[in-house]
Amino acid sequence: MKKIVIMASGNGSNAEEIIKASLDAPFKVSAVICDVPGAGVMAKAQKLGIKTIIIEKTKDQKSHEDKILKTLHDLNFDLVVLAGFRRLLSSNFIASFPVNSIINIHPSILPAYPGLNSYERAFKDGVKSSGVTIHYVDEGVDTGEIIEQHHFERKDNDTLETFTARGLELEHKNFCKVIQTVLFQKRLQRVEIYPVKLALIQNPEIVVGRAFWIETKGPCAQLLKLTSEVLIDPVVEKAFLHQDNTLTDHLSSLNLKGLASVEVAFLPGVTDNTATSAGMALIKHPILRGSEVSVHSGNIYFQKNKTVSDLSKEAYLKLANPWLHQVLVQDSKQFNKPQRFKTNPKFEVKLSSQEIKTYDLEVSDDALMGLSKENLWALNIEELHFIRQFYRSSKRSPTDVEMEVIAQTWSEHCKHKIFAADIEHTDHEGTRKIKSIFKTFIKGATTKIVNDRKIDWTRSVFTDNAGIVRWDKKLDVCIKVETHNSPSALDPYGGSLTGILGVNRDILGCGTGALPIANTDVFCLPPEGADADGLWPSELHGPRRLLEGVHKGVQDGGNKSGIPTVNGAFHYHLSYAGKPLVYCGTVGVLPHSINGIESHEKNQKPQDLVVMVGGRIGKDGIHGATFSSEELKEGTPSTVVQIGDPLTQKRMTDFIIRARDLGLYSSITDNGAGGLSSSVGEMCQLTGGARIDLALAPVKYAGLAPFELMISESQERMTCAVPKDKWAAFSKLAHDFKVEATALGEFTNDGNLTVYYNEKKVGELPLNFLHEDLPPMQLKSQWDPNHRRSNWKDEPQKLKAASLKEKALKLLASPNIRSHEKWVRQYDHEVKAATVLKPFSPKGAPSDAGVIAMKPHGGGEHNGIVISSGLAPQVSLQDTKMMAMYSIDEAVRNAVVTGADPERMVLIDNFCWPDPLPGPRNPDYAHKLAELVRCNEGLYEMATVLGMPFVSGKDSMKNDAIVKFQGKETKISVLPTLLVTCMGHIDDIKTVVKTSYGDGQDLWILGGTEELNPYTLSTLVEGYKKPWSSVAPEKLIERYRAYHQCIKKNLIRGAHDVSEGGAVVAFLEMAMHSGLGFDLDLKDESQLFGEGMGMIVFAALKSDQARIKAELKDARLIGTVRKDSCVKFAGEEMTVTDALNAYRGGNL
Amino acid sequence: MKNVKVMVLAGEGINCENESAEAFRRLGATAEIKFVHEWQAQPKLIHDYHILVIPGGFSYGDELHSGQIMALDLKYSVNEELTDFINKKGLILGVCNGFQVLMKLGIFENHNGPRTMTLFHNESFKFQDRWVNCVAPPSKCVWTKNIQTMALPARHGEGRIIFAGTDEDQATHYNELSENSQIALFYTEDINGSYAKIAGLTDKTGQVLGLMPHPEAALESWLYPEHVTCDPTTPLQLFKNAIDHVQEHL
Repeated sequence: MKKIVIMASGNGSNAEEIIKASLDAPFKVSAVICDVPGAGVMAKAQKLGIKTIIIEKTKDQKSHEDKILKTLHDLNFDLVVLAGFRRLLSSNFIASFPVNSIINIHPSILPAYPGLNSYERAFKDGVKSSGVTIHYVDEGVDTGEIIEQHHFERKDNDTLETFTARGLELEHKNFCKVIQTVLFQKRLQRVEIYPVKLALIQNPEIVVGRAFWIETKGPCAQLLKLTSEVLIDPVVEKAFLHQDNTLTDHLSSLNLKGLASVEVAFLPGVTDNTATSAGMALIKHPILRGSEVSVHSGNIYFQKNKTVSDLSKEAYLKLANPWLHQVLVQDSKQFNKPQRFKTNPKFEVKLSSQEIKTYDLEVSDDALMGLSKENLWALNIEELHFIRQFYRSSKRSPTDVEMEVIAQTWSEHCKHKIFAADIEHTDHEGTRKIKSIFKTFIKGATTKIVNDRKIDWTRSVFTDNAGIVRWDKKLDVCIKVETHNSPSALDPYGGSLTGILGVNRDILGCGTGALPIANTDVFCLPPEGADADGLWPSELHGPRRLLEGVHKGVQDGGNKSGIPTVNGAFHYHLSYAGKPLVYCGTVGVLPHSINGIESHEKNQKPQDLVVMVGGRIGKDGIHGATFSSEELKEGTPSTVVQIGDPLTQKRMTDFIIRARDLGLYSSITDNGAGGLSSSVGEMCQLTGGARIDLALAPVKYAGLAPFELMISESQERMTCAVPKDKWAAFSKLAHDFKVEATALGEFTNDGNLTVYYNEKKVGELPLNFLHEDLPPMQLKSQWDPNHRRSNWKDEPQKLKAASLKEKALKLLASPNIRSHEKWVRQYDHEVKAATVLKPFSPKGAPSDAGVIAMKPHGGGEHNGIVISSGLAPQVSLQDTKMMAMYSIDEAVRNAVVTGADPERMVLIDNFCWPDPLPGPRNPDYAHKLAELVRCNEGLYEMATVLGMPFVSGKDSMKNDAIVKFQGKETKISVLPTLLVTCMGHIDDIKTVVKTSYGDGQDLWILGGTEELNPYTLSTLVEGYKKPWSSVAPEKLIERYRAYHQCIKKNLIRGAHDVSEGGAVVAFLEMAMHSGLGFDLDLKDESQLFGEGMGMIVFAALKSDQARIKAELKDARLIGTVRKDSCVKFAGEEMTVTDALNAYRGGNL
Repeated sequence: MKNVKVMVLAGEGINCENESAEAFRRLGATAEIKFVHEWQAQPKLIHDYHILVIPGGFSYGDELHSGQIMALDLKYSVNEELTDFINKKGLILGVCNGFQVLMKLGIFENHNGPRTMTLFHNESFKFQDRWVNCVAPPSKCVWTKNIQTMALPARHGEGRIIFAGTDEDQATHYNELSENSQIALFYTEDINGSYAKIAGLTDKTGQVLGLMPHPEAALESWLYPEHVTCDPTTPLQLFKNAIDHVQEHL
């Protein structure tokens, strides 16, 4: 119920009318405030049962108004109505309420006859007509915004009394009506929030305030009170109405006087979590309880020594992203104007046509390709011909919904066409024909390993959202790693946030629904400082912004979801400037069976309902799947950029796990790339069809075209199959958890995916056509021995020479080695109380892997999961086949070093490649395709010999950007990059081996006898260029098995893998755990700094020397741990503190 | 022995409910996870329990201020029952986000009127995950009885206790808490800029404990980083104290 307060001084005829009318109107009068004791209005109001308050007028207007304000503060009202209140309100009083919170009726047609006694003055002047004006009150005399005016004619025989009476009649007739209208009109009001004192500000150079636009149905006169009780923490903040005079004083107290400001707010339609939360909070307060509230938020930055034009230029470089934000720059004069926002901003999203389009495909090839480009279908000409053939034989034209469904389903992102293609491959080893890289090498390896080793613990491999492995007597474990490169290139924060939330949903939609228990993240980025010379393409975010953005995204995504981030890596190379690589992985757990159903199975049946669960659909993320199947270039649609909402997803996760355990659905999958088109399109393959009506889908705002509803990738959604007899319970449970669940249709077995919009059929596609009939691409690859990659911009100068000690310290401080502890500690890595091995030791030694105990997740008492990763893009510069072997080796070795059993390990592959398909800007595509083939050959060889199956994987094949650099069109392509994630089983988590050693222990090195490559050193100091060499996988697995036996026999006291920087760096990192130094008996530079496969350094007790020699044939004893912090090698001397300082150095 | 019943709150972004419930279960108490909406649908539910736990997490995404919206949500739905629960000698534990919620509810204040303290951004303005050593001074807190030192993981972005007003006002607020024996836990090192290194507070009854670091995540020896000499017995004592108290007094 709306409420008003009446302020009056006179006999109260208007007040009486309003009170009487309110008895039958949807508003109430909370109180009448009167400043004249004994005025008629008092008795009238009291008679009608209304609370009356006398605040007697005093000479000092300020103290009088303060009393009124204090009284008002404790009342509850939406609007103040002046009904014959005879004192002009001060601007101070008026500014205590949002603009237009006070309404008045004036007895003349304003602007004529403002002030007192208007009827009388008009009558005496002999006017022909007069009237009444209902207006808002501002600080002037009857100058506020006019709402309505009503006229009456003067009659010849009018006396002042009859003249006035006619006016009063109009007043009584209209005032109440207008009040009622005003009380229900949409209002956009604004509050600003500032710190109470300078001491609470993070960076006094950039002071931040917060702004909220709050849209309510009707005015909210108590907005300031409301926001002060809801949106701020009063100990540290104060809320202001933007027109409030005291705001200027407050800003002065924060030393912000005279500074220009930038306000950064989200564009309409972009997920604004702060605003959503503010809305949720506001409607909990009694003032707005049960109302509809919509909020938009912004940050206000004040910056010293910056002009408006500086700020306008810099805002989009530092504070805002044009894909997501709008920016308002104001100088202090504009900012201090009382009417700063005379016209309110608009927050509406552009409407799309609801009409269904059909396309004529009977046109030339050029025209077909034009259509594909214009609509961002990313379809090639063969595919378009295939589609045309289908419609020819069906004797009709495709609808936009159909074309979009086909485009999403056949996108490289969803269908992995390159990995499925027939390839005629030629390299220096000859020519061979490959039918599907995926089937031949990846799935091929897994099949061979599972058969050869008679493995019975893989449950579901390559069929579901994630691979599922039997873990112990109680639990199955699933794992998936995704990339989110293209979205991260456009908005690093949103890209990585939706990346991590997206892969969490993959796990939630795996089997009957798994619970995510751990995250991993690997970033490949351009090196920090690479733009220090001021040369950077304007289309691209700078390295620091990329790093900060992707970091924050993973932080919020993991922390706010309550999932620990247990493992990851930061890798830097200039080639990642165009598309940064953002790998997000998640591990989940499933009981073996739930309610008697094997938990890895999907059991949707015809007639089960198609139910969308979670967030609503908006225009965000339209064409994500097809867009990421193209290079980044101008003209990218802004809708592909999204921000995630961890809270909505957390609620959904809580709900899904509960619904799963109650058996309320028969199948589940996530809504990721391609939206409903993909989730329903894939799920219905099992039943043989589905029928949905898009008009039933809940939307964030009106105005989405049917095809947009079908393919929008709006986040935080799952699709479930719900048996009809479970729907009531499913729906009720969702409601309790504040999760939206909507039945869109049902699964069928008629062989078609059929789409309706408002009961009208808008698309019908046979599943065979959609999923199976498209012939594989025919590709040719050609290895070019002379192919060279050059950087798109110069690398930093290398050192000419340096001492061994300087080299060691330089290495520790180099981008790919130095500590990222400060960043990593911002990820909660131990929520759920199961993280055995954390990313860094307390003193800063890095771990090789993350280890999670299963017991807290309902698994066995002692066992755990070891998660590690490996990538070696630098090796791809020589040969991608070798790169695959290095990547797998690094991932496996990290897990083995930590204590995982090499007999119980699975792998996950993630390819990120430069475009290997023919195209106008892609002359060397055939070589890049050949590199892909060779990489997979290496992967197959390595995995099959190690006996470690792949259980899941993903590829991202268009990691290129076309930009303008130094006036030239420049293509920036990533190095071919294969990330391998390894998940290993550890029988007893108490046997975890850490990057550490103890006083007096022996230091050993395992492997490293072949020719080593001091690669990282060669990037810093001139003159070290050497080739990479490989170690036979047979030898590696033998070594790892022997090492693992040593762990089982408790011989290993601490260990570390040798990777970037070589053995010295590895030992120095081990030293950081305790601070104790070592003596090292290595002299040769290639032994000190050389990198290669299969190398492990470890510490052991002196008394175990003989046993170690017996167990590990290729281990060499090369040093001892000292009792002090001194480090000695090859005649050089330093301390562990020197090493730690270098390792943690720089501005990281 | 009396069966001690614990209600562990979940949902709306809370995410440490399982380990929090497990902490009590391993000591033989009955711990039940209840979602916020379940409690709101039946506000009197709380009276079936002896102990209420508000675990860590990011309630409502912590978008405005940590714990702020959850505090409002509880204030406008179950405030009476919550006050009643304390009056009836119930015990409350708020860890991390739970502490922030209790703080925003004003549970640790001794006077009516505007709040005098809050949990604000760490001095670094960054979230940090790091094990910290804590020491419990003598206080009226039921939970920290007989506990001297504990090593616990601290995992928060807004754990800095600050008081309102001038330096003098702040000292007054602090002294009052101190004299009232309401300071339940200190860090041994300054990890986040918290006033006087306060890590945890109790209310005027001693029944409520709010603390930033996570005792429920320090109950297995294998969770400890090596440098820490303390073992899980001490944090376990914290939960045991509450259970013992219920068995003795209720």
